[in-house]
Amino acid sequence: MLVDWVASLYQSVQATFVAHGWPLWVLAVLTAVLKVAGVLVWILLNVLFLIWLERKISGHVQNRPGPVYTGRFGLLQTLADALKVLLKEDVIPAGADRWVFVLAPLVAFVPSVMIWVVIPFSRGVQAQDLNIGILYVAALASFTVPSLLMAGWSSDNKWSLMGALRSAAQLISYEVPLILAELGVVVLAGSLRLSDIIAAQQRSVWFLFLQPVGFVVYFIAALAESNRTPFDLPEAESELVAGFNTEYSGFRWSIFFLTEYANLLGMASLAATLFLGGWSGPFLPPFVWFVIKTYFFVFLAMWIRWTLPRIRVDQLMDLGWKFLLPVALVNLVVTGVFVVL
Amino acid sequence: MNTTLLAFFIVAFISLVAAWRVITDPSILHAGLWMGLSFVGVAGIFLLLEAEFLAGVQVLVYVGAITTIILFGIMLSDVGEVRVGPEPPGWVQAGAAWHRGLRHAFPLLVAAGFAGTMLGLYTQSGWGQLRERPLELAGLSVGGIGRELFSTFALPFEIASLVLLAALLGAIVLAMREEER
Repeated sequence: MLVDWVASLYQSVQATFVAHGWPLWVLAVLTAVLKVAGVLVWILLNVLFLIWLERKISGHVQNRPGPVYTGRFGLLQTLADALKVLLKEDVIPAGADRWVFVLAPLVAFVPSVMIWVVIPFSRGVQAQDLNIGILYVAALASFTVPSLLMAGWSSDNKWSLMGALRSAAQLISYEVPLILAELGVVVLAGSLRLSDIIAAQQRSVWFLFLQPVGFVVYFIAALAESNRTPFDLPEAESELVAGFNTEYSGFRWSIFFLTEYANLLGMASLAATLFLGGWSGPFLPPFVWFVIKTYFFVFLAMWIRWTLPRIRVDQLMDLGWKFLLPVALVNLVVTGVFVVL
Repeated sequence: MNTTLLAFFIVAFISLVAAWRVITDPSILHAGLWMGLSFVGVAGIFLLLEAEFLAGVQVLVYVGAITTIILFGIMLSDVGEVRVGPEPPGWVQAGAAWHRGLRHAFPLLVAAGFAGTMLGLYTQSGWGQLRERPLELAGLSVGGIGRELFSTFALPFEIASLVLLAALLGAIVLAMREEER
């Protein structure tokens, strides 16, 4: 009903514009700005909650309570941390490559917001239903590696550089199986458009049941893409201090942190859309289903992070190239044959 | 002037300036980053032509793979700054100044010449008429591209992948030989 209300509001505003003879591009710009604001608020609120959730889950996994003092159940902890980070001094190292150093967090953060253009929150609630939906997401994800390389290089610090190189190698290795796993879904749905993929799942069953192998490959590769344990070699504290963002502080550091959780959320919501039917589901409103499914994946990722140890570099490469890639290829071929028959 | 044309000029200007900086920037890493920006600009032009699929692939392949690999290679190979062009002759001050000017102007001249040649080719081949038909019908939709690639252009597509495979094998052989020394 909220959706209908917004739609009718939009129509009445549009009618006002036409009646008064105001230029329609003003309306287009206004709606675009409103959509961006909506997405930003959604991401920021979720990231605030996600960081709290991560600390709570890590606490309970390790048999301790996690944050408890700030607010009820420590819910305000992240807010306090965010304020602290914003008030901190913003240091740019003397030897840093200034321009690249400043640009790197932006190059990382902007694509993680742009992904939300195509994510369907509910029936018809989607900023833009692009016909290249999944390809758009995959293309945006490819900005992550250059941004990390920029951050690592410009810091002029060997740990940053090592972290950046590691993460570049890791992301390149896992991007291929990730896209191949997404392709399995695309072949089944016959469209790159995310709303078509959800519609295809409403007609048959969730693609999780038709693409179990593809789903496992997608999930492992997505974990690796978001640099989370067991794939957090780029930021292995015991070896690299903090990885590519060692030299970053204050606001710029918090942008990287924000990006990490925005990517986790984006990965989870894309998984929910591709494999669990997105917002479709019985009884509850579509948006609630979307949030439930997304947070199911978020919880799974956090659970894995705090349960498994980090894998070695050679194991990482072996897993990516010698296991995930062939499995994803075979899965794609089998899916193609299945669809043709 | 309509907004599409304005957007085209902005995007084209960004990609041209970026391409010019690729050649003139003294820091080789910055040159690599400028190249990435130039590729993004080209993707923007594809978007303006309503070829979304090509734009997506452009970003995925050229920014995600090629720029990344080049940056990766630069970082592994420990070259900080490269000198662009030969040293100016020290015995003629005016000549040196002229040379400095040329050093920045020469890439622009080359780019302009290339652009002129390409424009000449485009106008001769009659590609301008493609604009008359809706692009969906011209086979530029995602499904259309897929069907064309697997039917009309199957052979060129396979030849291109064979060439890439040969390049890949060549790279492996080169790397192996280095290791043996």
